[in-house]
This record gives sequence, C-alpha cells and structure tokens, in this order.
Amino acid sequence: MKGRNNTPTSAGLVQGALLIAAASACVLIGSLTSSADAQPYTMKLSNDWTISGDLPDHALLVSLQGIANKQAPNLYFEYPPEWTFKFTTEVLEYYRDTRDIAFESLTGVDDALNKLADTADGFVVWDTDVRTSLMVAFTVAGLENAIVVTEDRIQDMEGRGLGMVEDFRGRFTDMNDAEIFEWALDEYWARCSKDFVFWMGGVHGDRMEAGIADFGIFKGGFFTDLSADPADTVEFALHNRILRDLDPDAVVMGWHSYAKDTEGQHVSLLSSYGLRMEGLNTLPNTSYSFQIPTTTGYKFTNNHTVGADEVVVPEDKVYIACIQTDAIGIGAWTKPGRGEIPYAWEVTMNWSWLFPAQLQFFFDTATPNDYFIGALSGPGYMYPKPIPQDRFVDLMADAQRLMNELDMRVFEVMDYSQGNRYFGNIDLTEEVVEAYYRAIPDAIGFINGYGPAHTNYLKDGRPMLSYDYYLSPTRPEDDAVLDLKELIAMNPVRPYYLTMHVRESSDIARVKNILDRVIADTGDGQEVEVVPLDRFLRMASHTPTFTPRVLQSVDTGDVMVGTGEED
Amino acid sequence: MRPFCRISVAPATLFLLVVIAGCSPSGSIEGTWSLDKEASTDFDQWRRVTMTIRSSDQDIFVRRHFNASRYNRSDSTRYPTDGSTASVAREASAKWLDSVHLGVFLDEGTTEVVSAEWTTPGRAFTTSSSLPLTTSTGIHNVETTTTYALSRNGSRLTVTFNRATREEPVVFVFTRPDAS
Repeated sequence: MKGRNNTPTSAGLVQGALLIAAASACVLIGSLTSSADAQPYTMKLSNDWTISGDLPDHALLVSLQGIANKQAPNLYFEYPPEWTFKFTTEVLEYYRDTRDIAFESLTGVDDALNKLADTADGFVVWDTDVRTSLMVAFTVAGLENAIVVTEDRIQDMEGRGLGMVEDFRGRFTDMNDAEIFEWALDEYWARCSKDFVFWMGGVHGDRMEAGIADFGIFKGGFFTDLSADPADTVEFALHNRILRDLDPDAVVMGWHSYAKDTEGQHVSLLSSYGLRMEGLNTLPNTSYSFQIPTTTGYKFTNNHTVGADEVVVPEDKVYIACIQTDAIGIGAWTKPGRGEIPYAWEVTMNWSWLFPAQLQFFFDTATPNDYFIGALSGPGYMYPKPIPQDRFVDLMADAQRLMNELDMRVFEVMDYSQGNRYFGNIDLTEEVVEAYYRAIPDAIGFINGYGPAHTNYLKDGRPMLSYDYYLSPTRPEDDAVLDLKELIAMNPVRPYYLTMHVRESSDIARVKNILDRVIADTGDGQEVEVVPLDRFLRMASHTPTFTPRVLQSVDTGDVMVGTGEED
Repeated sequence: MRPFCRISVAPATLFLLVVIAGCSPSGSIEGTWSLDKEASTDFDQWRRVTMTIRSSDQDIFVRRHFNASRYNRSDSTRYPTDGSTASVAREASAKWLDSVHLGVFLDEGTTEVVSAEWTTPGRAFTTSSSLPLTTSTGIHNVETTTTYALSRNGSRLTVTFNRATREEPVVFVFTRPDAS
C-alpha cells in the first residue's frame, strides 16, 4: 500500500471521473469484503487540537486512521459537538443501523495502537516546536505508511516493532514555511498523488484541526498551507508550482490558512487552473466513508415540488426562499426545526463519489421540506470568472452530470474573485451567465452569491436570482426581522422574490421564528409566504418582476488589510 | 467675623464654580468617535466603526470608516447648515455600507441629497438625506433623518438613524477612541 494512491489519472475530466468512480468501486468491493470479516473501531475525540494539548494524540490517531483504512474501513471517529462538521455521531448510527456495521469502541490512544498499529510500516516524528513539521509528517505518513508521533512516543513505537522512517526534530528549526515546503516538495512531491492535494489551513497558531489528514494519508497526498496571496511571493510561487503539476481533474482538499490569505484568493487561484476545492481541513472520517457505498440499487431522489416545466402563477405576494449554504454537514441538518419550513440545502456534489453512503444519509433523512441544490459554481467549489475558457465547458458538463445523478435541478454559483461581503462585487458578467445557461441545460434556475449580489437574469424560462438577504448567524432575531421588513419595504413591486442565504450555523428553529414574525408583522395587508425553491423559481420564471442585471464594471475603491478569520 | 468671612468665601465660591461647571454641558461634538458596539443596535457586519465630525460656519462634515476583519470601507458627507440642500455624488458600490446584508446597492451616478441643522450649536445636529438605492426590483428612495447628540459630559455621542423604510431606529453610541 505504499507510494502512489490508487486513483487513476486522466486528461479528460469526464473520463477522469469515470475512472475514479471505477477505481472507487474496486476499492469498495474489496473493502466490503474486508469489513465483513473485521469489526471496525470507533473512538470519541476531544475538542482540544492545540500543540500543547491533545494535538499530538489527535495527529497520531488521524494518521493511524488513514493507514488502517487503507486495508479496509477499520477506524471511524466521533468528533465533539463543537466540531465544524456536526454529523459524525448521526452518520455512525446510520452506518450501524443501515449497513449492519457493529463498531467496537476504543478506550484511548494506547488501545487504538494495540488494535491497529500492525497496519503501519513505521513511524515519523514531528517537531512540536515547529508546527509546520506536522504537515510534512502527514505527507511522509501517506507515502511510508507511517504513524505520526511526537518524541515521547518513540520508545512505544519501537516497542511495537515499528521503525523510524523520518525524524523532523530540529530539522526545520529557524526555517520559514516557504523554506520548509520547498524542501518537502523537493523531497516528496514526485511521489505524491497528483489527483488530490491537501491544504491543512484553517486555524493557526497553537492549533491545527487536522480532520482531513486521514484522507490525505490514505491517498498519499502532499500537505501544505502555502499562501495564495501574491504578496507572499515565495509561498505564492510554490503554491502555483503545486497547482501546475496536478492532473486537470484533481481535487484540492482542506482549506486555506486564516493566517496567510483569504478564501477568495485561495479559490480564485485554483480556479485559474481549472481545479476545484472540497473543504474543509476539518472534514472528518473521509478515509472511512470513502469506502462505504450506497445501498444496492439506491438512486438519489430529491423532493421536487413542481415539474421542471410546470407553469406556476404567482400571486401579488412576497415570496421567500431559504437556502442554507456551506455544505449540508456544517450547518443545521442535525439541529432543531428541520422540516418545519421549506428549505434548500447546498450540496457539494463530489460527496456522491467521495463518500456516497454519507451523502445517502442526508437524502434518507430528508423531510419533504428539504430540497437539495447543486453547488458550488462547478463540480466542487470554484469561481467561474477565473476559470480558463477552455476548461469551463468540460467542468460544467461534469457538474451537470453530478446534478443529474443527484436529481438536482437548481445550481448555485458563488464568485469571490473580485470581492466578498464587504468590498468589490460577487456578480457575474453576461458572458459567464450565458456560459452557465449553455453548459447546464437541465437546470430550472440558478442562484448566485453568498452575501447579497445583483446578478439577475432570465433566459428560456430559467431565472438566475442572486441572494437578496444574508442572514448572519450572529444577527439578533429582532434585527433580522427588521432587516427583512425593510427589504420588503424597499421592494414594493409584487410579486417580490426574496432569496435568502442562511449562513451555516443558524438552526431552522431560529430561522422559522424570524420568518413567522415577518409574516405576522408585515403590514398593509401584504402577504408573505415561504416557499420551496423550485416553486419560487418557476414563479419567477412566469412573472419576472426582478430587474435583469449583469456585472458591468465596479470600481471598489476598497482597501484590503491584513489577514484573519474568513468573513 | 471678618477674618472668618474672608477665609470662607473663597472656598465657597470655588465650590460653586465647580458645581456650575459640573452642571454645564462640556466638550464638543467634533473630532473622532469610535462605535461602542455593546451599547448600540447590532451591527455585526462590521467589527469597528469610527466617525470623524468637523464643522464650519457653513457646513458639517462627517466621515465614517468601517472595518471588517481585513477590509476597510469609508464614506464622507458635507452637510450644508444654511437651510440649503447639497447633492453628493456617491461612488458606485455593490454594497450599501449601512447594511451590507441587504440586497441593495449604489449604482453608477447615484446622488444623495442632504442637509443639516444645528439643534444645539456645537453639541447636537440633525441631518436629512434622500438616497436612491438600487434594489432587485428597481430603485427606491430611502429617506433618513439622523440625529447626532452629545452627552452632557461630552463623553458619548448618540447617533439615531430614522429611515422611512425601517420600523425602528438604528441607534449607534460612540465614545472617544482613547476612552476604554
């Protein structure tokens, strides 16, 4: 199992996807055979991912997970309630109940090593004084089947008959990240996967939330957090070197570093190579769920409320459609209120082949009010404006294929290449809009934005509407009610279509409270109705009261300062 | 008695002057102010807001500076105080700084009409504005009356925005940047 991963390379995107799917199927078949004989293990992880706290243990465990799962889906972790992705317990229960998988609980690190250390070929030591050394250690772990440990575990590892394959203690002292990663690229890049690369970004300083590390090790991927900020000239050049070397259909997994650059810079850069992103660095258990297929004969089925060509005549009302973004697993799926109001959920469509059974969990537990839409801007997270023209058609054909596979009729676009919620624009040119209409012919409509945007369009009875309201997770309910009523007052035309972005961590009970108050309080006999997104779009198609608009030119006059938590 | 009177009158006068001074409004509305988010209407889209006020015989100048985690935005307005109105050309912006979470924006050629009057010279004034915002269904003129009032001791500035489109005022409380 050493060396390159088992995912094929190909020049053509569709061909590549098919090959990946075929390879995955082979892995799945083999894995199921193994897992039928072997009982997988599970263990609860703490929420302490600091170097001075539990990160050394967590790094060991996720590396062991990546290695052990190369043989079969052997190890699954339950992440704490505070973790970005909220579903690990629910998915474990789903696997147990629907796949008849009996997990055995591990009591701790030693127990995990006792049960699974024999799946490794060695160990690699990272330097707790040089945080970046852990990313290099993860790279080595994938290539050498090595457990990632700190120096206090060396004796234990040797006692288990494992040899040290690398020792990074003191190796990178006084080197900056660019120097470390340049060394690592020279040393390991040639042997690493060119289908997946792993950005171990997100939080920084004393913490590293390395949830995706297991999959990087599983795939023999290169780990880094190199900057996409052109001002960081050396890191930026190395970043480009990696992206240039990847296969055209490669996936950039993980997340950018909040300490180095912005989400907009990071995704713009990879989009300029026609690549796509799957977030986040915290994505859990991917090496396990990658190997669990959907049930035999399963077909993803969405909750459409109208026919694709159905004529739906609106009344003189305010219609609101709610869309929860940032992937179904980050947000409110397991929180109170789901199913009580019509709600659309952004689905990162590559989950259909990255972890099909996990995606089936969401479809199986959906209520009639839960509606899935394709995201985000392509077959994965990318921005359309920087995508090379000669790549756009193939990429979007793949997006259309994934939408069809997942029974989705609405596609969502986001572009932070020229701005974000605070500056610049997140709008689309007519050329880009037209390209989407041509490339995704089966969509009944498109949604654009993240924060509010102003691209609205209608062609062949298919509207593109931008978000008109961004519900911040921290906005007090009273103020959100006033916001929505003010927006309604500013848009006196009826019907008025109000597309509302619900940011990930707002639960639906809160959203319902806000909307109930808007519905009850809006005066002058006005009617406000929350409707399913597909119905909303068909009504907008019939009576398009929105002003058609595409990006012309915007002189932002804004100043970007420093770095920090993404906005 | 005389010596006693001579001795006691001076402290009494001094005390009286101190009391009078304490009861009199102090400070000026001019200068730089920093938003006290805890004391204000929620403004979660911006992490920090500062405002600078200057005045002359003819006008009041207000510059607002908005700061998110890594982005700065600003706008400025010169309000005439002689009873006339002024037309202020606004830079096209895909965001309305007063509420970036609403889907409204300033299109090319947007002009805001503004005026102001002192209600307490040097300490309080009121502005009026008419701003045509572009919405998803057209253009809507937003009429706003805003009051700026300094606290008696001059340490707090309360700015109250009354927008015709919003059912309740937006109240921002500012303090001096060096006050903690």
